[in-house]
Amino acid sequence: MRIVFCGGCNPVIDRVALADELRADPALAALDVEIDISGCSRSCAAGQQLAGATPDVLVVAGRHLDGRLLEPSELAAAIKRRLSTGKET
Amino acid sequence: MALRTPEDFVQSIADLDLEIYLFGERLDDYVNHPVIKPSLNCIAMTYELAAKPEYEELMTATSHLTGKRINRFTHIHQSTDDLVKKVKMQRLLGQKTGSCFQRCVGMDAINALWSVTWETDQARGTDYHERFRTYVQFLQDEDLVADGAMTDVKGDRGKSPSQQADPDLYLHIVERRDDGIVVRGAKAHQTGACNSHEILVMPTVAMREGDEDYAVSFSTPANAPGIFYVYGRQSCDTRKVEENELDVGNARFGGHEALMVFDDVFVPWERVYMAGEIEFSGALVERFAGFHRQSYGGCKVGVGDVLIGATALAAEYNGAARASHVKDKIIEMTHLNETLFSCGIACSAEGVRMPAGNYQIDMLLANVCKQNVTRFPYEIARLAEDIAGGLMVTMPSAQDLFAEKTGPWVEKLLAGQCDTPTIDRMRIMRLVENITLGTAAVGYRTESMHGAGSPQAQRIMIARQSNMEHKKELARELAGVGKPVDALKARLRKPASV
Repeated sequence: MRIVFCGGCNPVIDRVALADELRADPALAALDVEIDISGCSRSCAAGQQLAGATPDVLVVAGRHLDGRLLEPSELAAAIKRRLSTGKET
Repeated sequence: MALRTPEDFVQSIADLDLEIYLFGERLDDYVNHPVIKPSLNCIAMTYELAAKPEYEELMTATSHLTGKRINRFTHIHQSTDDLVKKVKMQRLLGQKTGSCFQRCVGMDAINALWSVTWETDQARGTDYHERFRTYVQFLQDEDLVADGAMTDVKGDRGKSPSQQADPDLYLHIVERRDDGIVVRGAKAHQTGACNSHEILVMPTVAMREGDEDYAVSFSTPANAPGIFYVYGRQSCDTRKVEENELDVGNARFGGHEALMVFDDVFVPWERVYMAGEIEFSGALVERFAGFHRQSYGGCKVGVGDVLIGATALAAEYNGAARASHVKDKIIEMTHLNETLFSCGIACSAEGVRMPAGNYQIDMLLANVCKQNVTRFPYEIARLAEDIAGGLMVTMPSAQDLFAEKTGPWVEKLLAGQCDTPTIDRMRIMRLVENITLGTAAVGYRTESMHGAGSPQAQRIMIARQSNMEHKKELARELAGVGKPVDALKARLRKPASV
């Protein structure tokens, strides 16, 4: 699992805490996926895209996961669910 | 069909035989009516410039649906560069017309509906997006003008659509049939409505349970049976029927709004893009408003360019151009105008690609843009009136300038800086008057206040998007809020000089 951060100029979520929570899950660490974590909906980590162009790229942009609006506290669980089941969050 | 010519556009609007009422009467030859024609000329300019190589970079785009060259007003934005070019195109057209050129509402509507129909289909399993995609290609292929119709008349603002005493105060579905829906109601303040081939209806507020019949979006030909238009009056509008160009200020161009009435209009299902999905009505309103708030960072700036130029000329013709306070006021006007442009560009550059594939502006910055637009044109207009002087509202008419008895006196007494003919000084004064309190003030002032949502609507969005917790955390961190007090006490020392 690769984590890509934006520059963090105006985050509405704690990017580092989210990344740490994902890294702490050994099941995720071995996956060949990229998670682009931007602090806000401008989605700089993903080249200003709200959704990943391919299935192995997940985009977190502020409170959005691949364009769907979630509570910040729901993001990590939604990402794990997505990676384990491949289903929509 | 290739891009339309301005002449073909005007003829195509005439061919619609729209049901338009003005001063209590139905108009026959509305495309040549002196009150309406200037607004038609504005939209014709969107066709004229698109055909010119020196403007095609801004005025046209490549369709992502067909690969063909299309007018940018029918384009679904495919990049942040597209968003930036949209704003620049709008500034250009504001400069060329000095007026509201009306075609933006349709562009903003198709871009908002593009992503909302896609997301509705993902959640509900509907096929709205495919229908809408077909419709957008139709607009592009035929190079049509669509009126983005959002604002209902609203009745009692304290009540929801379904709670109104008269159900027609919000446009709604009155019948669902196998082949489509029948709608009734109205859309108010409809910019360019009488110059449009198509009407693209959207709900005006986020709908709640019980409002399902009001959560409706569809397209319809502008001349569909049951639709008629009541043309909106503008300050000084009857000067246009006086057959003298001077007193109009801007004789060739102008904007217009109309009250659009839907008296049991049938819409086939293939043209329906929302019918009861209340949970997506809010997103549609926000996105359309967001795109339109971006638009004002371009169009109002272009008109502002004209007003600043007119003001600078008025100062020259008055012989006051070298006064330091006049120079400073024109600098202030320019500063305010370019600040609006900066916001339009910023929300575009910070746009994002939506899951539906189109690009959307940054919502916070678009709302900041529009909030500034509710203020700065008023200050620019105030400074223009300050510099132009009282003559812009007390000047005799064109008839008096040319009358046998009064003409020589008006010519002699209204002379300013002596190299400038009196009539040119009068022309510029009338242009300033036109934009600040004449027909064009509808677009430059009150539309700046209420168009794309009144000021409070932007403040709600700014509050929602402004990330206050992050700002508080930054302050807590730097001030040391919550850090142990004992360590702070231990390090306390008096400054050596005390």
